[in-house]
Amino acid sequence: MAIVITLDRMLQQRGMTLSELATRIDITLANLSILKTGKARAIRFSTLDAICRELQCTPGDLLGYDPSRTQDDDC
Amino acid sequence: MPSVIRRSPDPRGIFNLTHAAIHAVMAMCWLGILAALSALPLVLHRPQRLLDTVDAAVVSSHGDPSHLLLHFCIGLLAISALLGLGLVFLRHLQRLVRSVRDRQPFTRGNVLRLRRMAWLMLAMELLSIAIGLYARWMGPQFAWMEVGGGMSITGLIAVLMLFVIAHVFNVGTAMREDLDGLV
Repeated sequence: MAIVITLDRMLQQRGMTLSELATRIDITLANLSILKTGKARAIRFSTLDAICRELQCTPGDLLGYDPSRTQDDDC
Repeated sequence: MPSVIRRSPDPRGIFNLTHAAIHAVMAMCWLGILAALSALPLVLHRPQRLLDTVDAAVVSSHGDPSHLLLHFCIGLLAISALLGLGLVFLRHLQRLVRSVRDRQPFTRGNVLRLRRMAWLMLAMELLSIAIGLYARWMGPQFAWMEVGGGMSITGLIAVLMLFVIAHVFNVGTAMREDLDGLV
């Protein structure tokens, strides 16, 4: 998939750990890990809203687009 | 007004009952196969016992009595095959019920299982029709061979229903896989 999740970078910039964010937005660490590693197939607006609220960023800061990764789809 | 999704009460009792019913039918199938297969050596060993129970007119209509015995044996083997298919079908059904009980019904395995069940049911229906026709051709004394009841409209509808349910499960599985990746 060409959609790139940049949650890792945002967490680093904010000095926050994944488990801390998971606790703050009330989501399981396993699910947040799926999102961070780019294995998620979809994201709820409510999840996106909570992450943006806690990291004080916009969805654009969390999501990117890399056309060269399109070939990786369905692999 | 927000919709409220109510979780159905735990249907464990129904699943246990279904399991018991499947086990009971499987036991009957095994008994049937055992009876049919044990009848074969008995008939071949003492053919006169069978011939004594059949009208002389029926025996003579088949020409040589050995032909009647051969048809009888073929009939028994066909019944065993029918019951064997029934056992495989029930085994698939048992696994399907188990996965539904464990709240994991929408899997690729169950889609394949339902398709196999549909084909098995079709094979059983066709075999049942063949046995019914065979029994009728052999004579009234062999009416007991119609274990499957011959052609059955409900059976044929069940085949179609199984194919439709397999398709429903296929769609359900795709939806579940999508949900699994939803964060």
